[in-house]
Amino acid sequence: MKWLRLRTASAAVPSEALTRPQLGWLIAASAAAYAPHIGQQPVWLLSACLLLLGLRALLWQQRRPTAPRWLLVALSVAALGAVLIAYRQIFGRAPGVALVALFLALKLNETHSRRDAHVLVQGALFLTFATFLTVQGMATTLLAALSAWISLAALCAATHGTRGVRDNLLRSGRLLLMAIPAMLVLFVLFPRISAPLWGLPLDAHAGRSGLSDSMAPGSIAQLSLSDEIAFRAKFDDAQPAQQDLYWRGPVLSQLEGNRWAISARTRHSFAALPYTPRNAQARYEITLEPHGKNWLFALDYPQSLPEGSTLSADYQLLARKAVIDRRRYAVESAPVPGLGRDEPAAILDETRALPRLGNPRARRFARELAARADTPRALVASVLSNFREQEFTYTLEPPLLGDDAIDEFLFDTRRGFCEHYAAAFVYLMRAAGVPARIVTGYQGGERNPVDGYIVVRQSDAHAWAEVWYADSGWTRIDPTAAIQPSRIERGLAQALPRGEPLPFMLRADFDMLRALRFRWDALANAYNQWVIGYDAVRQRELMARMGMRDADWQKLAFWLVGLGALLLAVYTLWALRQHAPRDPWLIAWRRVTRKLARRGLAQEAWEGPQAYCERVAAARGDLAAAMKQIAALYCAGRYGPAPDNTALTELRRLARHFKP
Amino acid sequence: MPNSPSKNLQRVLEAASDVVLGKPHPIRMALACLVARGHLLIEDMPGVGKTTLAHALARLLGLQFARVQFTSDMLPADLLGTTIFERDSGRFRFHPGPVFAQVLLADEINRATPKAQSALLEAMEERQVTLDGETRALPQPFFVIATQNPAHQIGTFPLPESQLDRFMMRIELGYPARDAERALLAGMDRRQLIAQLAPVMDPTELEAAQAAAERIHAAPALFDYVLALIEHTRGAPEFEVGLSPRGGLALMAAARAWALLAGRDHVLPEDVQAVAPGVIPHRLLPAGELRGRSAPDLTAALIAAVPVP
Repeated sequence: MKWLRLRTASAAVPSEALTRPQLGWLIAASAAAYAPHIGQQPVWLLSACLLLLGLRALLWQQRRPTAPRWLLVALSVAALGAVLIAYRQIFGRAPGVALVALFLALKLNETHSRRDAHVLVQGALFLTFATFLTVQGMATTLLAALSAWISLAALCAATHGTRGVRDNLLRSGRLLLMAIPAMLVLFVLFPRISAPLWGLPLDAHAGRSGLSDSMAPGSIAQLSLSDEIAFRAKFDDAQPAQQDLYWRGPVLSQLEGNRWAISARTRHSFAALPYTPRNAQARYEITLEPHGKNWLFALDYPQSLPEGSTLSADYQLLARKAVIDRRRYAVESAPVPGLGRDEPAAILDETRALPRLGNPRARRFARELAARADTPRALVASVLSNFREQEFTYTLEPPLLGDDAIDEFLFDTRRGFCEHYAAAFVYLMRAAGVPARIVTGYQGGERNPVDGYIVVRQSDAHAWAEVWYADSGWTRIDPTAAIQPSRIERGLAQALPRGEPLPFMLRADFDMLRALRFRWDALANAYNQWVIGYDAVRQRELMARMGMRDADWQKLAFWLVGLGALLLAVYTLWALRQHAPRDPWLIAWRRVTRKLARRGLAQEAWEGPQAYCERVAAARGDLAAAMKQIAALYCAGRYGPAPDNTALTELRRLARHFKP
Repeated sequence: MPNSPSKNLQRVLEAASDVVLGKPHPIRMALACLVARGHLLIEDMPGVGKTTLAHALARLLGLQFARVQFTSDMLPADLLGTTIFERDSGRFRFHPGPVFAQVLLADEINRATPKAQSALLEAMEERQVTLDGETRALPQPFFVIATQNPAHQIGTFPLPESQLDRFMMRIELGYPARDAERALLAGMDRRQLIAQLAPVMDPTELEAAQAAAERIHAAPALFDYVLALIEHTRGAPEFEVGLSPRGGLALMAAARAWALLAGRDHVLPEDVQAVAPGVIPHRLLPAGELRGRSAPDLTAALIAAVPVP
């Protein structure tokens, strides 16, 4: 068999260079690794990566060699420069991810050998993982899993170049499935700390839409066009009526020009409830999407403070830290009659204050109304009836207003969105000397019939007013309800005139789409609640339910290590069983070859026993006789016509005593 | 009792090696092919000893030998024979062509037109010839050694893949080594040597050897190996066309004959690996990496890719 051995030494050993299908797999794996980043990374970065990827794919498709080295070096320098210019540094999360993304595409352009393939697959897996540094939603997870699947298939292809596409996909899919138990053990038992391990930097939520700490005409109308979810709420028992769902957010008492802002005075906040708690009328849990500010939303008025929160002097629930991760908290609410009756004079003064100049017509109008009304309540009623009786229009597209915005709105344009009405109302009240302020937040929400969660979107953003009466304290007045009661009762879509640009999700003509969206939303919510929201508290709850009391990190680590070791043992046994020979002759023979392998004389997978025996005999003259005897017995036993048991016993004996 | 088949075959090998110098391996392959009842295709340059090999084998096995030089104007009748009217007897009489020999050397088979080629290939497959509505059996044993000249393909009709499959083996002879060539130059004329050769076996003994080869034991573990090889040629992307079932049968038959030549009563994976370079490459259509690689390279790559179970 010498002729064969000579040949194989030079030609038949699978070469280290990658074949065309293998390269195709690597291109696919890199492309898949970019997929979860779409929408997360800047467009220039993704297009640059796509161009580099496309270059390699084109050369691959046309069976041409890779780009020259000098070009790649130049491109690498350019990539580094681009990242430096875009991020002003190369350290940190965002520039780091950008560098990995760019260099993965560059590496693909110089991938030739199997070693390169391993580097590339690892890079693709890392890039996939890096998605979770910015987003952790369900869709992202699915995309990342898909990408990992393709990357592993590419690894399979790079290792065994001879398999077909289906086989590689099946194989890597099986690997992923096998990883699931390990993943579950790690996920459930890994000791949770309150923040994600890699600590998202504060800038992560900078661009999010949501309420802000000031309001100008048009700002809420702008927000109303967004479908984005602000938070989800789930009531423990009965859900209050739709028109009572006023989710209190920032309270604006300071007016500067046309801009309403949070008052510095009310930033002072209470660590305990400033009033006696009452029996709750609504118990609910809120899952707040991160918005980067520190306000939490609740119905009027919270009867308990969720962990890590305070109550501002204007009764807004505040988190101690900005909400940069999805946050879940339980609240109980009940009305507190007469709240604010003993409001300090400073606050009352502030909520009566107006800028010295501006809006003369409104001031005059307020004085006229005040002269006719004998109580603040009567004044409120006459202002609201004025809104009702005059031709005011509720619209998402109010005309632009000048410096005297309130005047123009009240007497000229008469077209506005909730913030116009709230602002005009509060202005008139203050002009007549009644303390009043604007409350922003969300009104209503849509009940998802699939899981019973109330989904509150940015399009539910609302602004209303609060008036202070000497006898009953702060009282909510919603001027929008006076003009357009259906906004409060049935939601924005019903209240707007036909033909106005509505947020997509609110349109009635997409019923099927909405039903689908409900399902998706319920699924995403369940994922958020149980996967992303699986924090230290939930972990403790779950452990308690499974019978582990006070699950501290030591106990968890103990179980983690124990179960991990068990899993490892199961996998190992399974893998060994897969490869363990069943044939008794082969078992005895393997015993011999194992011993020889330890001496550097392993049997090649393709090598027959006789050829192997000759090779061993040539390399180790001292073993020649024993080896020939063993090989003869094995060959006759395994391949011969009538194997007998005495020969098997003899082979076993020889194998046992064989000492290379 | 006559000598055992494998002893006889050993002596044939030894005697043939004295005539065809320095080529023990191709001689062994050719003999194994013959014992496995297969036909042989030798692809090589002129003058490397193809005829000598064929003639010597025929002589040593006590078989009739005929040689046909294939040309482009050759007709099937030139090969199969023809019926001629004889005036003396007033009857038609069949004059058998060279195909009615026990060992037929078909020289430069790719020079003939497909028509003449297929006449031979049909005879090889059926082991009988049908002419003028009459079926005539060919002699037993019947063994065709065809040669192809790979270097000068102009004006030739290369055998299509489907017909290559009819040959159990395709081998190359190659130039002799220096020592062998020196002995060749110094020694007697080969034709005289062959004329002096005494037969080592007779056709009955050859028949017995062929039957003995068919009885060689193949264990389930060996079938597993052969199946793994076949499946690899069909599944791997390096091959556009894999091994046919006929190819698999040929591989087994050749491996059995090889084991008989080695004096064993069972087939080892090594036997399969040894005959593989002759049996497998001409039945495959390599693609990708392996396109255009030589037959031994191809086989080595295939063998290295399939573990022995």
